[in-house]
Amino acid sequence: MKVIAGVDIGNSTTETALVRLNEEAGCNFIASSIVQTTGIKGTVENIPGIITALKDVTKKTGISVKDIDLILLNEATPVIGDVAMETITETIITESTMIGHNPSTPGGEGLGTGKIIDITDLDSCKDEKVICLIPKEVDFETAAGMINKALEKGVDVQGAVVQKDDGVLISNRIAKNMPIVDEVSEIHKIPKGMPAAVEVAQQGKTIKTLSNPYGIAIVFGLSSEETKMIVPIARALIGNRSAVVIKTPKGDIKERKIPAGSLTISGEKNSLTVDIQEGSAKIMETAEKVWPIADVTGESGTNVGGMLERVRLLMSEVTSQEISSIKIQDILAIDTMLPQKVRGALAGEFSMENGVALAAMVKTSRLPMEQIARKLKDELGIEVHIQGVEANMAVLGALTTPGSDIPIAIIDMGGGSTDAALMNKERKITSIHLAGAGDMVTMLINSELGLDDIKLAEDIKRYPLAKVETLYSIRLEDGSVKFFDRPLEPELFARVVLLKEDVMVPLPTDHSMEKIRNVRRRAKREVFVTNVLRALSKISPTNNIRHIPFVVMVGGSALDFEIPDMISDSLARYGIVCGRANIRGKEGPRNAVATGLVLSYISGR
Amino acid sequence: MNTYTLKTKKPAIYIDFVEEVPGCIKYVEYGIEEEGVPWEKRKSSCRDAVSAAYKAASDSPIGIGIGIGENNQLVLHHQKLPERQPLFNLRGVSKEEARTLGANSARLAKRIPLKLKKTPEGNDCNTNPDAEKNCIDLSERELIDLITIVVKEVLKRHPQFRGWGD
Repeated sequence: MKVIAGVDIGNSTTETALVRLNEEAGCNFIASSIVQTTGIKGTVENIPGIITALKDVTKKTGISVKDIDLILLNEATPVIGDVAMETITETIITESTMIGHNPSTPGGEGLGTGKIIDITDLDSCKDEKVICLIPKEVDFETAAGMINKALEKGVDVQGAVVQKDDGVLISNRIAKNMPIVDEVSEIHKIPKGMPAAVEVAQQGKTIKTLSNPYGIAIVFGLSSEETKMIVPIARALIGNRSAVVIKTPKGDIKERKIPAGSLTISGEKNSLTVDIQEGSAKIMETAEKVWPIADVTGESGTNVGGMLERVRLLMSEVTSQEISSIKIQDILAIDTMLPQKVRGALAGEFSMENGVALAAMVKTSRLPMEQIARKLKDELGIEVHIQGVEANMAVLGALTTPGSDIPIAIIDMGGGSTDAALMNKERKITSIHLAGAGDMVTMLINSELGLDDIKLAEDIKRYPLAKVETLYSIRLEDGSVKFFDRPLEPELFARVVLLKEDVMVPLPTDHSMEKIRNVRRRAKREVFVTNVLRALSKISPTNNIRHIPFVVMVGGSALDFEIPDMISDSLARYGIVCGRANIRGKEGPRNAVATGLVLSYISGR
Repeated sequence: MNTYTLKTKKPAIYIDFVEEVPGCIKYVEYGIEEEGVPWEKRKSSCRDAVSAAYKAASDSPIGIGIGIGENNQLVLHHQKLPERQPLFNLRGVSKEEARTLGANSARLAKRIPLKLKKTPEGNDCNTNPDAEKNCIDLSERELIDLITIVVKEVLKRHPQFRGWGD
């Protein structure tokens, strides 16, 4: 009798399958384990992780690591992915000229135009149109009193900009309805003596005049040239309930295109160059034209160039190969909108800018697996074999899913790359690795929601959302309501929360649940559905995705609460049976490679 | 008495004060006014702020009550919460804190996220400032309940006293 352990070193997890091999009774899977991978996949730093995984699996069966007769390692696919984001437009306001924010409670409503003055200067005003600034030193009662006095005197006060959250209080204490924008923290930056317009929309509505370039043109009497210049302001104000626009003489707002750089994609025969600014569709089209990709280079001195260099450098360190011999073999580009802080704005306004997200994948000849095998053997005194290539092992493991048959394709959606392999009727296996997977989804969520917190973005990717509706109930994403026996914490009230293993984590953003859900689902669809379709059509013998009857999803992303459904749904259109793997009928989508390693060894004996 | 009464009162947050009209009440009102929610002030018959807040919340057609006790103690309560577990129970509040509590009562009514202090220096959530000082803060009702429990427990352990209190 022999005890054999199959060990699969993945990008994020190391998995094992333990088998007792009996000459008469055949093989018997007795346990499996899963631990965090230590170090970068394919390096000797993986060894501590492997040992933990082996300890784990043997503990479950009551034997010790020493009782293992043979360890089987996979020839890990030498694939490393990286992601980057490029903004291709930027709004810069060189002179402070607008405030477009959404205080929760502005005062009054309508549109007011006039000269900007400090409230303390109201006394010296004659019968002119003015908009007064109310700094935090002036409390609302005093401010209201001063405005009323000025109105009686005949000064046409048209609106107000308030530093504190006093809009409604002032509005309720003055004799005239006028738009009042409050919670403007940087009120001292507003230039005095300039013509300005203040707009507050009715409750439940958004501003109409200041979010329209022609609206601003009428208010300030702009020429057609000047109207062109204020388009970015109008655009940044769309969707707000209140806004202030101030015309400054040198006011110069422009939308500037940043040179984002270009990509040169080389195929086996020719190479093509594409500008990042042309967007993702064009980039992917170019990549298809030169497929199979031999290498991709970015224009030096640009962000794209830097990002591709970083991938190369990391890969050359891992494999100790020359940096010049590292080739990028796939890229995935996705168009995205990024909230960027408007430079020169007064209340921390954001403007949605266009951007391109880019994932790159590097493949080298070989990872130093022998080194790992040798070191592991020295440390444990157990025979270690490199049993086979990862993709092949994964197919063998996936075939233990009840109901599957050859020809079969597997999809392994990981963190750095999306991999696919196909076993045809002759049991010949072809495989492919594409750039873009879980890490790219995280990056898209992080930037599109303006989180600036990768860990939070990762959590948003992983866990479903809910909205706390009352002190005792939450509404889940699907519209159902869940009640609690005990009151929820006041911090959670009316917030969008993540349902993270029985803990509710409030999200520190103002986005609605629908918005967050849409961003999350779109990111997953754009990355995974796109890549699955790309991968399957490339490994299909006829390049036609319809000629693959069975598709099985393995790996961590197959455990996601919505990705498998999205993929099954999109593949159903092509008449493909697609589902989550269930390795050996009990492991779910996990353990495919580890199981395949042992099966491959047994059948090879 | 279990007579059914129609709630024809107009929706409002009720502010019940235990003492004479307290100084901080106007800041609470400013907070509510800025958020645009109606409110009503009443003199409470309760002796402590928590009970007053609970009574106010129970009477309020929208189920939200504020109790103001002596020394600027402010309590925000909701009719569906247990009496001794108000949402906020703050002591010696400043003008700003009073206004924030008023705003939060209105936000509770509007079902939008509450204003919470950025830096958690205590006092901003469900914490009872006295808990750390080992003080006990109970309403009359609960005090009576507690004493009853203690007396029953003593009687159980010392049967010789049975009949003394009957």
